[in-house]
Order: sequence, then structure tokens, then C-alpha cells
Amino acid sequence: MIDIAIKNLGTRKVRTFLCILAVLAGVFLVGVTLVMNDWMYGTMTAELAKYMGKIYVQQGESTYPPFDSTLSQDTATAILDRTDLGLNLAESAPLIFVRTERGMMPFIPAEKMVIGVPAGREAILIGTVASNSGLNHFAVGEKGDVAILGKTVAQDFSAKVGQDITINGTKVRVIGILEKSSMDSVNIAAIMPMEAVQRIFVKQGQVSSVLLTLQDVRKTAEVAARLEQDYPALGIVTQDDMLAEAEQVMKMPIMYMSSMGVTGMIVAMIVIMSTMFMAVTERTREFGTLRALGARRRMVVGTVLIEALILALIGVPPAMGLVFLMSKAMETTPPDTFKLVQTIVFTVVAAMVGAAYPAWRAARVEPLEALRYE
Amino acid sequence: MLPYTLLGLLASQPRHGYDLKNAIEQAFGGQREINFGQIYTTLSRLERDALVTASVAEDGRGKKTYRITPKGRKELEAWLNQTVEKIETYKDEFLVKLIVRHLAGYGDALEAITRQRQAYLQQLRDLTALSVRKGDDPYVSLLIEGAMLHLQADLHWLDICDERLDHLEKLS
Amino acid sequence: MNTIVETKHVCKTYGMNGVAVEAIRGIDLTVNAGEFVALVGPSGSGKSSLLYLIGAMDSPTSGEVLFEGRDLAKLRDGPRTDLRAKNIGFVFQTFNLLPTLNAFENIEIAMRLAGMGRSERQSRAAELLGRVGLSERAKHQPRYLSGGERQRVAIARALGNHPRLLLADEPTGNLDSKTGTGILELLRTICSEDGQTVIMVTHDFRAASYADRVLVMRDGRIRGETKLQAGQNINQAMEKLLELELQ
Repeated sequence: MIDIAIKNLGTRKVRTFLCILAVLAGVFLVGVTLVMNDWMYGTMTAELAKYMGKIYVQQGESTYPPFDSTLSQDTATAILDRTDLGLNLAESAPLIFVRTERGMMPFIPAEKMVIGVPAGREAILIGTVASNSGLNHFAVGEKGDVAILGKTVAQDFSAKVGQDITINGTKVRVIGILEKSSMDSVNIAAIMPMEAVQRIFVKQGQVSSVLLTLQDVRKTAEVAARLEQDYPALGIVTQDDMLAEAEQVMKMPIMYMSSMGVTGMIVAMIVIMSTMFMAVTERTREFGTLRALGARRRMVVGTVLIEALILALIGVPPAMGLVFLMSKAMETTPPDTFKLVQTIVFTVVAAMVGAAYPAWRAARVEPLEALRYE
Repeated sequence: MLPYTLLGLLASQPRHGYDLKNAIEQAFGGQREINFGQIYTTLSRLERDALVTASVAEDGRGKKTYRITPKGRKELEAWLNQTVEKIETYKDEFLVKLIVRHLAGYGDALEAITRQRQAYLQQLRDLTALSVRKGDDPYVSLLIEGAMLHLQADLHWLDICDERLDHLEKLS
Repeated sequence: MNTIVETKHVCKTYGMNGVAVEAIRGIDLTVNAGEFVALVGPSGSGKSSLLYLIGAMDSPTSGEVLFEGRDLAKLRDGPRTDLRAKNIGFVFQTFNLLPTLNAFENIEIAMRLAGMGRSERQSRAAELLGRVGLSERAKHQPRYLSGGERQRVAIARALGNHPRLLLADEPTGNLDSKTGTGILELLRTICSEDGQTVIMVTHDFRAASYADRVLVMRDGRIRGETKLQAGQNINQAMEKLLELELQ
């Protein structure tokens, strides 16, 4: 029966071709949706993973990074001096975040920022990311206008180690450029000594937040609760909070993306319904003849469904190829086998739903149709 | 139509009586043996009417050669160019039989129609077999074709008889 | 005598746009093996409807249609379709060949639907194509065949499954008279030589004269039946004709 289906599709080459194109577009949209949603989630979870067990104390429950939060340095010190919280002091420090370029997408907070960290505590931010100059820390007690740049920022400034760049009107010496990190917040940051940032951006005595790392990660919720009690005016942000907020932010783009994917599926469905409906109407006499010759209803219906399936599935490899290329170009995660399977399932569903009505019409054709003489 | 057939043959060239017989038989596909007597009777009449002339050959063997006269030619041409009226073929003995059957009070026309239909159909079938065998000669095949068409028309007419008389019977 | 199909007071009423049309009003008909039957009548006489009922394409409103003893009226669509596939061959006025398949494949499809195996149906298709004289046209699609050739393919298709019945609905309706004669001769041959039972519907008496039995239909009833002999006394017929011309 497949050979007959292929022959039938081959008689109306233009119509078949156009249908396949439209389905291809629909499948492409579905593929893009799956990939983009996946990427957004993936990027976000990767980002937030590093905040496990950490608590940010900041003003208000505002976004991460806390660009709009202002905390007095004294308060910060007071919190850090507490002995009852079980703090890992080597990994805890006040931080100041200044956004120098806004983010383009709603779920990307910033394109470029400056982070001020007390000299000696750079590791909190940089972690194990290597620097091409071998320098990924400040000299102890450093107060000068020096910066360690993340990869993306360095590219944007076309900066080299030892060069000077201008930040907020001040000349800053680049002492290190980091390798590309999986954490995007490092890539887009210029990390400077706390004191320098406070001076350059006129925020003396101020910090944005205090990053607290606990010795016992499991105590995060407990410590967070205690801090909330002690400092009702301040915002206590844990990884869970950040996750919740990120999900909130991502709701819109995910919905937008998904609606694109759904539209893609609907387009594919309608095109298939339209194409098969035309085919069935034109071939009423042919179906009648087949029935008269002894074909069961289910065979006639099967022909329609198989043709619809072929039309739909032919578009899947090229569409997924395009999705693959697009994801490479946009540096998002490329589709994996599971996505391919998902796409195929969606395509098949769309094709069958679209073909349902034409198939029903085909089933209703009686042998007598073969004798209708126009 | 024999007179005109002879005139036609003589119009192309003068012939002997025997040639005329052969020519006619050829024209009708070699199927029919024509009676000499018929031919000579007709020729005499044509001579009498001054449409042909007869002359005896010099060799004195007594074979007459016949020629067409100008008057004969005119007569022939007039006949050829005159269109044919189809009155004669409307004569139908079966219709008369149906009427008489009714007049005689015998009823059961349907039975008669069915039997007549059988006769016509059988004739049609025979002619079909004939046309397959004799189809090569164009004039013969025209003859057969014409006959078949007439039979078909008669069969349709029988259907109409059937329908109308049936209708009449239902009314009475 | 082997009875292939028998109808007992069969009736068929169609409901068209709310109006009931009585196409067949009680017909008793018996067709035996090897017969060539013609159903003649004007349009609306019900002859085609009767053919569809005999061909298991439709169910009667009342009465019985017995195909080798089995009442078709009692069969549901599935079994009826299967019976049709295996036992009945159909030839249409409009040929109805599948346009995407070539002549060979068109003949094959009927056998495929009846479940015949690949090698068997291919050899039979080749055989039938030869039987109807179209072996060199095997690879041609219908649009490259003349009307007469298409009908021949259709006849070959109908014969694929060694059907008990070959049904023809106005087989010469779309053909000129010369081509039509060829088709009728073919039907006559497969009946006479192969013993195929043929039932043909026609409005043309000339076509009907090829049959052994001619049934005349009008208004859903049979008006009369005629039995015909093979062409005899041919030379006598010729004589009579010529006589007329020479008077």
C-alpha cells in the first residue's frame, strides 16, 4: 500500500511539495520551541547551581544580581561577624554589583556588569576558572584600579592583559582575563577590588549584598529563617528563592516559545487536512472503484493516513537539520535524540489529527460512486 | 431500380448484355446471381423508351452492344440528383397487426411485441455476424449498417408501443 | 444447470433528497453458469440498479439476492466486500482505471485486493493482458491508452480472480461503434470460449444482440425476455438484403 501512496503523492507534485514545505515549517517551529525551552531552563539551572547552599542578604527581594539593592557596609560586617550562623568565612563576603549594560532578553538581567569583591575573596566569584595571565586574584589588600575580566567582557573591550580600559570614566588596568566559564555571570563581569568599585561609582560605605556560605549546606533553610527573623527589613535570598524567581521571569518567554511551537503544529495539521481533503474529493470515483473491486473501507482509509504520514515525516529530517544549524549559530544547546523523538511524535499527532476528517470522508465512499457518470 | 442501375453502367461505357450481368453482380459484392431474363426485359423497356440503343456487332455473331442515348443520360442524371423521400419505409406491417389484433378483440399485445422483438433481435444478431464477415466491401458494409440501424429504430419503436399500449390498458 | 445468481422479488427504493424513488419493483431473475445475459432498457428503467444489487455493491430494500445460494442482503459490508473481491468482476462505462498505475498494475490491483500472492497475480496479469491483446501496452498508464484499450484492460482486470460473474455496465457507452464492436466481440469470446458468465447492461440493442438472453426492463420491472441463437443463415440474410436493393 505504501507504493501506491507514494505514486499518488507523485501525481500532484506541486501540491505535495507545497504541503511538505508547510509541514516542514511547522516541524521547524516545534523543534525550535523544544530546543529553546530546553536551553533556557538548562542555562538557568546551570547558573543557579552554584548558589546551592548560599544565602544572599540584600535589600528587598529584588532580582539577582541585586543591582538595585543597597546595604550599609556596617550591616554587612555585623552579619559576617556573627558566630551563631555557622558561616564558612573564606567563602563569605560582601559584594557590590553595578550593571553597566542592560540585558537584551527579558530573562537575561545584564549584558555587562562590574562586581566589587574584597581583595583576597575573588575565589568566591571566580571559583576555579583559570586566567590567561595566571592572575585570577588581586594582591592582598589591593585597592588600586585593577580588574580581572571575564571572557565576554574582554572580547567586547578587545582588551589584553596590561592594557587599560575605561570604566565609568576611570582608567582601569587589566591584570587578568578569564577563560570562558560555564557561569555566564562571570563571563560578563569585570571583577575589581571592592574599595575601587565603591570609589569609582561613588558608593562609599555601600554594598549590594552579603554572600554567605554555610559550613553545613543542609542548614540553609534554618539559617535563612533565622536571618529573616533578625533582619525583617532585609531580603534573604536562597537558591530556592532565586529559582522561584527565575521561573517566574521565564514564564513569559517559555509561553511565547510554546505558542510558537503550538502554532507550528496547528499549521502542519491544517495544511495536511487541506491537502488530504482535496485529494479525497478529487479521488472519490477512484475510491469508489477500489471499493467496487473489493477493497475494504479500512484499506481506503489507510491510504489516506499513510499519505498524510509520508507528507509529514518527509519534512522532519530537513526541519531538524535546520534546527540543528540554528542552534549552532545561536550557541544554544543542539537537539538531542530525545528531542528528535519528541518532534516526530508531535508531527505524527498533527498529521493524524489533520488527516482524520479526510479519512472519515474516504471511509464513507460507497462503491456506487464508481458509477456516477458526470 | 434495375433500369437506373443499367443506365448507370452504360453511362460509363457501352456494354454487352452479358457484361451488364457480371457488372451488377460485382457491384453487389458478388453475392447475387442476377436473372438474365430480368436484365433483358429491362433493356427492352429502356430501348422502347429511347433511353438506350442496341446495335449488333459487325462480326455478325449476334451479340448486341447497348449504348446510352442523350435522353437516357438526362433521365439518369435527373434520377441521381433527385433526393429520396422516405415514405415507403414507414410502412410497417407489425403496426397493422397490432391494430387488427385490437380490432379483433384478441388482446395480449405484449406477447406479440415480445415475439416480434425476438425476431428483430435475432435478425440484428445475424447481421452483426454478417458484418464481421463481409465488412471489407464498403458498399456492402453500408448496406448492412443501414439495415442494422433500421432494426434498432424498430426495436426502440417496439418499446414505445409496449409503453403506450400498456398505459392504455391500465386506463381501460 | 449451475445457478450463479438468483433474485427473488427483489426491490430497491432510493431516497433522493427526501423523495423516494422506486428503482426496482420486484424482479425475479435467474442466471446460470456460462450465460451471456443482456439487460436492456431506457435510463431510469432500473437496469443499472439491478446490476449493482447482483454485484453485491448495494443491498436491496426487500427481497433476496442469492449468490450461489448465499443471500447477499444478509451480509454486512465487510463480508460483502470480500465476496465482491473474489467472485465478481466489474467493467464500467467510464473504464475507471486507476490513473497512477500502468495497465499491468491495474490488472494486478484487483487480484491484490482479493489476497492473491505476488508471483501468482503477476503471471495471471501477464496472461490476461495477452488474452485481450495488449501485451505491448503493459507499462502504459491509462492516459496513454485509447478508449478501447482502456476497456480491454478493464476487462482483463475484471477477469483476474476467475470471477463467477462478469458484470458490465454500458461497456460500449463511451466508445465509437467500431471500437465498441471489438469490445462486444471480446466479451462474446470469453463467454463462448472460456465459459465466463456475463451480465451486461446496455441501452443499445445492437450490443444486446450479442447476448444469449435479452431481458427488457422498464420502470423497474422486466417486460419481456428473448432468447437468441448464434448468427445463423447468414447468407440467406445477405440474399434478402440484396433482393430489396435490386427491385
